Amino acid sequence: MAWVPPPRAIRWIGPLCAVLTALALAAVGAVAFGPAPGVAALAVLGFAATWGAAWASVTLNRHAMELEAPAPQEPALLPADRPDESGAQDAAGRAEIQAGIQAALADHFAVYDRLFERAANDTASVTTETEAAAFDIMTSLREVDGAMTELLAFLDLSGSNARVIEIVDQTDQQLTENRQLIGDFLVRRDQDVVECRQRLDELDVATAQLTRATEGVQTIARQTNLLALNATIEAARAEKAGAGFAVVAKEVKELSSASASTASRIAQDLASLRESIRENFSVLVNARIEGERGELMKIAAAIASLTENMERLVAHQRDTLVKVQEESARIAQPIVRLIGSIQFQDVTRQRLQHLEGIFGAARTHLQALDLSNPLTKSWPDVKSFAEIALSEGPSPPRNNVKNNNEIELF
Amino acid sequence: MATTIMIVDDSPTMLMSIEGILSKAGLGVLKAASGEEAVTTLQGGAKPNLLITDLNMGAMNGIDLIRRVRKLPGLQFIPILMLTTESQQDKRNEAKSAGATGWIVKPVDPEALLKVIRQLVPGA
Repeated sequence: MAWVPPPRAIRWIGPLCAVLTALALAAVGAVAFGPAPGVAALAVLGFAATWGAAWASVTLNRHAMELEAPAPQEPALLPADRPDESGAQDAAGRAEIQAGIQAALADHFAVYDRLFERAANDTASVTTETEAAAFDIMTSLREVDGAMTELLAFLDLSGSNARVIEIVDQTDQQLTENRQLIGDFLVRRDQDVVECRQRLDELDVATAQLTRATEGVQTIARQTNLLALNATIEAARAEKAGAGFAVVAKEVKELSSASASTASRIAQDLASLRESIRENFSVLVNARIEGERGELMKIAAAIASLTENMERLVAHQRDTLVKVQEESARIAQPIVRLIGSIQFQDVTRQRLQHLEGIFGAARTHLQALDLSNPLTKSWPDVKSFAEIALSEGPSPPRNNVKNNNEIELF
Repeated sequence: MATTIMIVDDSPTMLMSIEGILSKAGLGVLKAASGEEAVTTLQGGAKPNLLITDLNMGAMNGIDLIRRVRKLPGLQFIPILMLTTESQQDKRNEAKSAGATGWIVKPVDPEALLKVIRQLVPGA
């Protein structure tokens, strides 16, 4: 059986499939890797692969038929010179070959149809999944943004920083007042000590005066005793007439002795009292009050330390609040940019939907190709499909929104 | 009275994104997920200061929406921005003829969007 070239319309179906595959892969490449490298690489790859497959299929088929055909024994005869039986065989062979090619192309088209269907489904799935993911990201971003906004509003409205500083200022003022009270108390204590010493000195003077008074009493007693002695002598001289006077003189003598004795005891008691007061004063003032002073000084030192810590705490609190406010404000801008960047998902979604449209048009076109009908005029117009496939879709996603704004006011 | 911007887009993500940008700037936001929903809201008495619409939506696309809005009382002169992935000149011309005020290609930088809004709505 000799190889017979297929009809003209069928011959370019191979390249057509190659073009369709190249377009589909180019679109996928543009979405996945960006417009320039993805389209170029995958389009060339798709075209080359499909065209090579079609060329190999036809060539192998041709060689197979040539091998099956017997070697010509004589020069080929023109149809007019051949017998009728031979012409009928050739026609039957051509019909058989044509049917084989149609069947092979139908198989190829069925594979392309399944490929486009799967590509369309996968693209739709990617659209749905990325949209859901973008929505989740957007929701989370809005929650973060809301929390940050509430935090800033709380800090602003409550005036936390000012309130803390106010409280600490009040506490610091109270501590200062307490330190002042302790200081005043210590001053008063010192004054009390001075006054006590003055009183003690006054008491010392008074006891000294009393001691001197007792010495006067003792002197008077001695003189009285001497007077009583003289009176006794004079009473003895007067004999009977002086007997009564002698009794009086004796009594006076005894009184003077008693006075001297009493004055002496008073002087001793005064000395003991003065010594006792000095000892008590020393215990009270020099020991207890000094101890009290020492404790109060410790309290004052503790208060001073507390005040210092409070001031450090306030400074730390103020720094923390200021830092929170600054960082919150700093985070706000990236959040807004992130919210804006989510628009990339919509751009990608629309490009994928455009791709789905191309896949759908390709399937429709393939299904409309009637391979059993050799009249190509009945086939769908390839130009209309080419317009869909080559139409400019949504703009490609851009990597940097900031520097690629496209805004036009009419 | 606070400035209110109406956003019309069939993408929930886009609605949230643009709403986030505008609300962070202190602008009020009205959202519609389709042209029909936007028209219904506007017919109900909503008076936004500016309208931002997508081009490719369901039954009513952005250009159809602009034509409808321009016929509504009190909204003949409201600024309308087309926010779309498309950048073809013929579609821009069609939008301009329908009454669009401007054309913005997605994705738009938040600061640039706010700048345009403040340019079109003084005091926003």
